[in-house]
Amino acid sequence: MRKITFQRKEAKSLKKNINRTAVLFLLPSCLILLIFTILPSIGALIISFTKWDMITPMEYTGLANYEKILQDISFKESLINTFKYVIGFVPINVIFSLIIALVLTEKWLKGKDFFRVVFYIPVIVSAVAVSMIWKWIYNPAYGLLNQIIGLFGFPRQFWIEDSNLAMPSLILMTIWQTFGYNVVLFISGLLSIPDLYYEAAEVDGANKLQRLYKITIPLLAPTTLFVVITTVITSFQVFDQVLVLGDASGPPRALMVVVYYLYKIGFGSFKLGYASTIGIVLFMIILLVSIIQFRFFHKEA
Amino acid sequence: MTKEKNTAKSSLSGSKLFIYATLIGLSIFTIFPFFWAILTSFKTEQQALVSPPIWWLDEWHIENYNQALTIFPFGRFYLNTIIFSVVSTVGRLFTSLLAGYVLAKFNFRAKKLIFILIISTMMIPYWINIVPIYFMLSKIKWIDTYLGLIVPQLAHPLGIFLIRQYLTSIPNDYIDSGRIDGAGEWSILWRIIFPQCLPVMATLSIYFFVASWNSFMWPLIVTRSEEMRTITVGLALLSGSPQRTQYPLQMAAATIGMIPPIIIFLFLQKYLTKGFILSGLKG
Repeated sequence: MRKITFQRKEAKSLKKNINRTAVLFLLPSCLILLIFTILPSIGALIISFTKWDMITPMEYTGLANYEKILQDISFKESLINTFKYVIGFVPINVIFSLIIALVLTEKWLKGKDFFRVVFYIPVIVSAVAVSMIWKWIYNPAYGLLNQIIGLFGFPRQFWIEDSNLAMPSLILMTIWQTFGYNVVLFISGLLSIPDLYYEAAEVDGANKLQRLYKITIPLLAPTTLFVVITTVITSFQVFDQVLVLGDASGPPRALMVVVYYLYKIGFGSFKLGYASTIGIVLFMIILLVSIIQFRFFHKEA
Repeated sequence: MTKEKNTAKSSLSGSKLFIYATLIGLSIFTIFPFFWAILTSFKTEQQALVSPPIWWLDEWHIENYNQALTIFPFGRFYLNTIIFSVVSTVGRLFTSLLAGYVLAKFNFRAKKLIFILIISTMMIPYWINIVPIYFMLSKIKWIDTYLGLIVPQLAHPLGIFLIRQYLTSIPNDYIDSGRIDGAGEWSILWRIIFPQCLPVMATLSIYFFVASWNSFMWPLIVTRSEEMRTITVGLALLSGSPQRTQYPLQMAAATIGMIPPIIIFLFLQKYLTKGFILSGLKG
């Protein structure tokens, strides 16, 4: 009897000890995420209803900023540019990465690791350094690209400065930089499909194309969903490249994207209330687009 | 019959050849801009601005590197970037290990709620927070300090999530036997949990290190003076400076900025390119 109570007591103190440990171990992460992520996002929502320059006191203006954003032509333009970028960038990036991943998972292929590593190198380099390099490649007078197309008799182009070519130039550069990342994700998705399915299909006499459509693509759907959604989300946030490709006065008009516009309004003109409104609106748009994609993929599956 | 077989075989190897050629072509396309940047960085300005371009140099000019280091204090930028990347990576790993362990192996009320809250912070884009954080940091005088640069980066939901996922797949026996032996939670963490987590922590450490090294908007906003800038901000300053048309100089600076992540990656690439991040997300 004495022994049992002793054990129970000990168990109780152990449990108390464990609970204290749990709190203690969770505290650093939770505090930092609370103070530097959760509270600021609530703050941003509140600030988006105000007029504020950080010096004079904050002034509550209700929905004024949201009414303003609906009529803001510059915002509309930046939003259209951002959509152009997303629509141009994501499908090419995803399809191209998928094709390369399919090739790199072919059994007979030699040097798989080599190619995978090579394609990943630009991913590891900062967007800032990459943009500096491509700004030089795109240089109208002496850039490599004009020299190369000149060999084929094409006239000199102004790439970044040309309002029609600026966006395709940005898209080409970011696809070059980031496709290796999605290749790696697709490879790991493809390798997780059991060989069994392919063997069975082969026995049934399915050809390569049939196997691709009937086995690979449906079974890869979770990976594809993940890749598409993350690629869309990150491409809505394009910023670094645009800042570097521009000159001292900012990016060319065709490359003015929403996050850069937010940065300009917030930290160039110190209209912090309105900058927060832009942030909240962009966040809602990204959320909406993500939900639509989820729905779409669910229907497909 | 034999003839048919032969053509089938040769057309097959033909398509294989085509695939190899395409992959090699794509590899060259991937590497070439780097080669071009590094080559340019060793040219004089006159050599860079000729047509057709010079493909190989008899004399490699390191003056551009010297000039890059004198126009802006790139040595200082390096130091700042190293401090920022190393401290925030180690900090994130540490806080993620603690929280991931608790969320995987402890039972208490509100555990699920805390977990969901942590994961949902992944949805919040950083730029939505920059205005309030900037205000907060300037209130406590942390703008333009290492504290302001690093402390907000010391926790990361992806780290917590991956370590938690990883640990849930590990049996409890080790922990229980440790507890029966009377080991404290702290020593269980370091002697039992930490060694188990090494593979996932290796992946996370490279991921975090490279992400910090390359991050741009955050140091751009939190730092102000030249002594506090990081490499990426320094590069952007240089690319917007009056020297922006001195391309050999620009390429020298870009090379300085991109070498460390590339070297680290080439040594530790298997931890990143095996798709660890995704396998954790699926589990």
